[in-house]
Amino acid sequence: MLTGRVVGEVWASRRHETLGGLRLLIVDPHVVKDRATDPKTAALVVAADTVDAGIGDEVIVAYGRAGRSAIRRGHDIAVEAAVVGVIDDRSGPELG
Amino acid sequence: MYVGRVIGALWASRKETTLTGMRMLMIRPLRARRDGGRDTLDESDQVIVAADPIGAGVGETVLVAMGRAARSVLGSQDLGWQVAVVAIVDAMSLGDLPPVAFDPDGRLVDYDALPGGPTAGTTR
Repeated sequence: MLTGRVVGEVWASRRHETLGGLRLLIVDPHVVKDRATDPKTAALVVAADTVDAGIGDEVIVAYGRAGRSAIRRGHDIAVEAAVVGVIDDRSGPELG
Repeated sequence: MYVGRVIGALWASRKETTLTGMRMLMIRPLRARRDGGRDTLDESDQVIVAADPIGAGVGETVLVAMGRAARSVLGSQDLGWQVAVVAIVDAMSLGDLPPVAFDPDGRLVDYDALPGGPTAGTTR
């Protein structure tokens, strides 16, 4: 699992049928700010939305079976990651 | 799951038997970059290999899934394979900017400025 910020959304009309009707969010994974590079080393993550997250929200992303369990469409779907929570507040180091 | 750009195909005639007939692409995942205080997209230096049952071409932007999700689109869980293209991306939004997409030269441009294609918001 990881946390990150929702930076956008993906639209695809040519897609596997099991992706139909899912909202796919682009999440920029958190890194410790004083180690952040520009551009970031880590790739952006795409995750299906289960909590109505919006652009700019900081979110929690689950992978694999856990992510698909949150989507509630079974496990034979073309989705591997899901946004499962919106972060209200956090402590610790500054993240970017 | 990742979004990435297809940079090429690869062929391997000597491979594990469950991989017979598999179309294999090389893909660079996208990463975030700040440009003049705004979020934009960039191709990472990493290269991943993915099976492609959807029919993506070089230069197209694709959505890639891993593990069981990937094997679901390949039709069997008993394959020696982990990564697959699950969709071809029409457009991406970034913040509150209009939808963007890569043009054939790899430049990120306004989706509505590209010739052809429906408006991005109607294709989800």
